[in-house]
Amino acid sequence: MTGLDVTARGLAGSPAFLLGLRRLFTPRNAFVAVVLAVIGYLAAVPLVYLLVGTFSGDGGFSLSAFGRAYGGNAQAGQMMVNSLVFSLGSGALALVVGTALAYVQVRTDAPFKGLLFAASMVPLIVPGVLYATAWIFLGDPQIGLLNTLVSQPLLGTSLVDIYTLPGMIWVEGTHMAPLAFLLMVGAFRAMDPSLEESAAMSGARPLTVLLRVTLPLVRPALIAAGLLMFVRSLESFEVPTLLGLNKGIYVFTSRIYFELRSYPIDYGAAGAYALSLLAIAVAGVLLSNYMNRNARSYQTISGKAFRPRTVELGGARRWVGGATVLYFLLAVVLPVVVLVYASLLKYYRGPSLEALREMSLDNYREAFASANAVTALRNSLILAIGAATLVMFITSVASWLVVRTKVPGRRLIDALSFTPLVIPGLVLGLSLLFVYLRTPLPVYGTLLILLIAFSTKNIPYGMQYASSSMRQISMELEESATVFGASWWTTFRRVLLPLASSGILAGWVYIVIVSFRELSSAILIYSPGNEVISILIWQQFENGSFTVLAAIGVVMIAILTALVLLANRLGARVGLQQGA
Amino acid sequence: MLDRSTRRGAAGVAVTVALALTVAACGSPGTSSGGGAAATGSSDVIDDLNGLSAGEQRDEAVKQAKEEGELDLYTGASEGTANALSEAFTEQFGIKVNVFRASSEDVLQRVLQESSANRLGADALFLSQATISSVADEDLLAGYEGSAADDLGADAQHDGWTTASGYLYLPVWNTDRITEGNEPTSWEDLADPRFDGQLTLEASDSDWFGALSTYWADQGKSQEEIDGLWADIVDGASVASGHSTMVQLLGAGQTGVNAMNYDYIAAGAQDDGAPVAYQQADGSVPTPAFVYPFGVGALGQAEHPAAAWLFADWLLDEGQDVLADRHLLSAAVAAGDEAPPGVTTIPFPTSVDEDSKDWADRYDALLRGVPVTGD
Repeated sequence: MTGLDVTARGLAGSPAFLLGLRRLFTPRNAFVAVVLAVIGYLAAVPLVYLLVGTFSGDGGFSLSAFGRAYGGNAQAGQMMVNSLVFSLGSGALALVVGTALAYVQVRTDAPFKGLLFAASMVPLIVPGVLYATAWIFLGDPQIGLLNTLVSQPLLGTSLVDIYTLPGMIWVEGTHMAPLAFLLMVGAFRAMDPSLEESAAMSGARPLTVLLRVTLPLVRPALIAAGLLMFVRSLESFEVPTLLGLNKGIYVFTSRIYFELRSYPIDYGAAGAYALSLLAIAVAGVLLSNYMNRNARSYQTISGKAFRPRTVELGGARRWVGGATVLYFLLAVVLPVVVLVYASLLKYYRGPSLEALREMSLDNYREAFASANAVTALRNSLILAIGAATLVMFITSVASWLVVRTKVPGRRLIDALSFTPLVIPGLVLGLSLLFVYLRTPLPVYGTLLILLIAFSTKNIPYGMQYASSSMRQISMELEESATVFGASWWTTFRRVLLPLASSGILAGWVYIVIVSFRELSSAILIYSPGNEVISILIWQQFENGSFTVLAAIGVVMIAILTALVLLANRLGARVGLQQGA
Repeated sequence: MLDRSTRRGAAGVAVTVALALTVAACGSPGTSSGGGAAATGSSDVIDDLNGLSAGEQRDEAVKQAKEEGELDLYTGASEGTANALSEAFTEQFGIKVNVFRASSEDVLQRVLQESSANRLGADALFLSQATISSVADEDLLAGYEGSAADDLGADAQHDGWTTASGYLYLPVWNTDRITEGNEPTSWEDLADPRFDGQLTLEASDSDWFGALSTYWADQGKSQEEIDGLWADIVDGASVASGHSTMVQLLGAGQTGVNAMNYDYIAAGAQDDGAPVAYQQADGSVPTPAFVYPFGVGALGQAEHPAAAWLFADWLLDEGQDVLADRHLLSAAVAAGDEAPPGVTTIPFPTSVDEDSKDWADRYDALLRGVPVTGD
């Protein structure tokens, strides 16, 4: 029995009409309706704005924006190919790396777990413009440290060129891998190992167990992660603009960026690109729903008590440890060291005795001299924690509806909740300006408008985190709670939420981090006194000093790393609680 | 260890508290009211101040501005400049300045959106020529006519706004990689084979592309010659995003020359000791530089009209020293009344702003190496 479908039946048979009506107004339905209205509203505002902007021409409805975007010399074919190679490549890299890191972290007795966790999380914390710029200083053929300090002395030539598609895929993939890591950590934690044990007892080798039992069991999370990675890299703009433009590798977002940077802004053309991204994303959502159709087979959290078994790596332990250290060096140490190094200089230059002599903390002083920086940090913290809490709360309810019920329109909610992912931030900002300048509520000119922006932007992530963990919870638990007389709200709060808490917490951590970085929607709608840290970063990037920017970045990395470690300790406890 | 129900209870309380705190914290307004009902009679206040004699204007503006208490400034100037201006203004008059800072184009979007909802939040604007004249075209500005503008020539006075500062567009090079005597000496020189593989262009510099193409055409070059020059410049060039990133990479030696960067960004990098230059050893600038003006204006519906008037007056007077410290041009130079020593300046052709979309498309086509459509 799933619930809201009583509505349709109640209306169909007229004698049962009144009864059906009464059933319709249960507290649960009212609650669910409110949550859906919130999600629908948040997602619909920018979407409608985008659609109107794209399809309205001089004389009403018009498709001319698509002509401007794709016609003439737009090189749409080449751009499409680049976009797909870039997104599939970096999505696949992030998925493989993130899943491997999560598996090793949660399920094995690998050494250096702390290092592993840092390797898995820190790249996400570094703002995109800084991560990409750090890689310029590492992988530029002329001045990249990997070339000047390693490749040229040893081989006499520059081996690394970051301005290529493989270079872009590496930077984007490692930057995104934490997103996959967080999704997969939740999935691996919430896994009943009994099937693995049966396989092992039947004589399957460990690798076979991994490939044939473990990974298929976390399929919902894998699908969600794959989809998110793919769309996320389709819409990311830092790597394409900072690295791709150098040698003319254009993708969708560098075109959107171009349209939004030129004046007067062609919102129609930008919207036409964004809608193409939307079409791809919706196709992805439908595909992932189709792949998740055998819902019951992934429900590994059942009435039986379980505790995920630790896989003993044996001889492989050394290799896994080595790979952890290597990856940590490449994805975390290199870029972060470059940033710390730059933050101590007056201007960026290659390492030399002179550069060492000149190092000072002046940039940190300058960055935090203005009162703005402290206000901005505080605002960013409030908004990040607020948006993460709000989004995970409403998407938990919405994902229950999508995963567990047969309510008509649930697919629409699923698809709608995905749309903010592809709405360009600037368009989101404009749509919020448009709406809240015209409402008497105290939203415009306050932090609330930023909270709305950051929440809207993160609904897709919240939804994927929440629903992939909902999918793992067996229906029996909910049913038995209902049988024993628990109300829906009690069941939801005391059975479903605690069981899904690992994934929900992972989503929360993710949203906290990306909200700190969210810029493009914030730039238009902040007000004096309501600055956020990402705006300071952008201002330094656009018109300031890279070394001061690096200093702000280093401070931000330190604060967020502390936050994430805290959440991880909390999360470890939540994870244990499930097994109890 | 807490028992389960306590922990669950605690988690529930934590979530509720977090949400409540967030909403409470977010709901409190920032320092700016974000606009309110249009203040009536704002342009009257400005007209009255304009009408006073030169001796009385400043005193009266200060008096009224202090009564108004604060100033909401929207600007496209860099963060450092915006902060320096607001601090100096507050220090001198004791009037608090709330600054909204973004790119000039983003500020324009915000002003237009606010105007369409009749909720203007700015009193004064300090923006690029292209964007402030777009605001003026919407009839949103009340012209400043104070004694500080009297010394400026007619070219500084525009319909509703006044040229207050600006910066130069010129080639910048790395002094380690480009030896003395090998610097670019003209815009045409950038097409010289010695700069193949040495140039970096910025991805959004279509206004420079338009200005230079127009300048060359005015000098009598044929379209074919102009296209040829651009083709040689772009050949083998790198493309960067962001002018300060570009100068950082130049200082680090990524390439030898920024085909175009801003003088104030290069001068700031020089202050930090970066090996970059836009002047020859004798201090002269060999390439004629485009002057890109910034203008100041007061909004006709300003909530603090006297403060807005005072800001314009101050920016054209004492504020000029603050701008000079930031390596920005004086109002007189930006308006073309004077030239800085050792520099030949070219006024930025306004036609480029008018056709900016077209120039953006052409520049984009040039960088991608594809033919321009619609020609």
